[in-house]
Amino acid sequence: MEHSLAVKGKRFDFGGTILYVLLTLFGLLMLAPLIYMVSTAFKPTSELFLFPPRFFVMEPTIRNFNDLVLATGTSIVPFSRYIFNSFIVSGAIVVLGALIAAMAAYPLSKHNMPFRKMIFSMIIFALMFAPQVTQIPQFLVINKLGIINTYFALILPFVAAPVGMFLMKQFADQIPDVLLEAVKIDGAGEWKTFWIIVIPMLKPALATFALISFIAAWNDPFSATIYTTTENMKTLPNALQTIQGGAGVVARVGTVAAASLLMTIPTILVFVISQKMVLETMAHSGIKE
Amino acid sequence: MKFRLSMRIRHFLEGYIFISLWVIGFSAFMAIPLGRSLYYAFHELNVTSDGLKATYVGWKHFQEAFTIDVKFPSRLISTITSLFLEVPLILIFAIFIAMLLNRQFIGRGIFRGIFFLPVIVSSGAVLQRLQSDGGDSLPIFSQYNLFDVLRNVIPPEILRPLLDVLDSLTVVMWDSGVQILIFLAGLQAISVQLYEAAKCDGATPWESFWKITFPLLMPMILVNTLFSIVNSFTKRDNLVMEYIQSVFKLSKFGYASALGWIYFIIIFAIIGAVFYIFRNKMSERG
Repeated sequence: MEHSLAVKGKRFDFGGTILYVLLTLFGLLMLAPLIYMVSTAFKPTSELFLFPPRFFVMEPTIRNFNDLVLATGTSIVPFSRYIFNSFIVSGAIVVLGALIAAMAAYPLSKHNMPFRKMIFSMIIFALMFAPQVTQIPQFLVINKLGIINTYFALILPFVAAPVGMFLMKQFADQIPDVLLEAVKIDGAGEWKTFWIIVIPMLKPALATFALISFIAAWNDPFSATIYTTTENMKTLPNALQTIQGGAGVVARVGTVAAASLLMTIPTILVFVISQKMVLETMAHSGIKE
Repeated sequence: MKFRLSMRIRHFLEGYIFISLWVIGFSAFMAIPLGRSLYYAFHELNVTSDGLKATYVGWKHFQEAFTIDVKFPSRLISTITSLFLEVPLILIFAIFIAMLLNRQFIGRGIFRGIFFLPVIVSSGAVLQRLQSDGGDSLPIFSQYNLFDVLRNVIPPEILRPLLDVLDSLTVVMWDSGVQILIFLAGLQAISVQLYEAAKCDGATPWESFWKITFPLLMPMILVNTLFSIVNSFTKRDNLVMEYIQSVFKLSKFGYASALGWIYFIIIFAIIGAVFYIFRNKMSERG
């Protein structure tokens, strides 16, 4: 008995060490872009334009951040407006997009109705199309709806996302039918079934999708460039481009690096929250690890 | 009988109501623009004082793309070859890392964060500059003179391509953050009891991977294959995308739409093949 325990202990240690070595090795490689970004933000002008680009900063400086504060002070509308716009737009895209995708995925995977296959093939079809090609016709549609220069123009086109829908459907397929039947026998309608069974069961997919769509929305400069014309409606990536362009372009590469470093902070927060949600789901579903 | 029918119809109706929001959004912002761009592909568009004016030109744009245009075919081919190299690598790497991260160990949250960070960062502006400096691969390995150091040990004919692969591997890894997350979410959905049962029956971890994890992950593998293909095809720094964008900037909307559709049909063929393979695989397992 004692002997077998000792062997077991040893074997675990061996596997654990390999696990840590592998993860650290890959992890270091994965960290490289972040390190590059952080070090660029602290680079003085003399180090910014070296070729090939140098990974680590030799003489760190916070001048870039000072410049950023100065640059934001000179913008036409207060800088907080960009931040506000970005949060409103990304937040709405994430919440509405996740909800609509989940609502559509549920009947697609659990209701056996006509045209189900057709709608599903439509999603696959839409997944493949390069977004740039539809840009101009999309603009015409938005123009016709009369929502140019409103938040709707920035939010609505991205709410019915095929990627999220596909992801949700794959997860919804795995919800056991028995569970849905049990709730229905207990007298819950479709809407209630959706809220108390489908949404909680889809939580990992919802969290993953929320994260993906937040990143896409948060970093997308194109929609605000195309669908809005007033400076009031522009988002942070646009502000970033404004900082980048204009007079004294050369000197501002560092400023942009500083700004993009600050811009990743909300994304990292969303990541942490969404991953907590995935873990919580496991706790609630009673599946032990 | 009548009651049954009405139940069924109600069931359908409820399904449609749930789905309708998505379909409306989809039609307005995807389907209609898609149809329009197909229409433009066969037309020459001119901006006039009363808006866009379209004149029918037939297949002219499509012929031009392969006969007159020098840049398009070569860019297309290089995009497709890099796709076939990268997607399998991304998938294998993502499954591997997801399985490691799915185990219980100290610091798991931190490691998860690390593997996802590149996705957050690489969508930002800084990495794009870095990538435009280094082309498709980052000169991490060549920069530190690994080539000169290792030349004495390994013959250069083997070493050079090896380092090139390693360089592009870093890019592959940075592209796999989302896939790792999707696999992780998929792994969480597999019941632990299955593994316990398999273990009781004497299955080795290797066997339980192929008999439990792999088949149950199949739907997620499909999602990830699609996601990787679409992601690498529609990335903004993708050669073909850049080219289409530049044609758009020249206001040759008709030609750009045609290029977009050619590109789309190729993606369609590839994804159709992927679906075919997966369907056969899944029905085999029954």
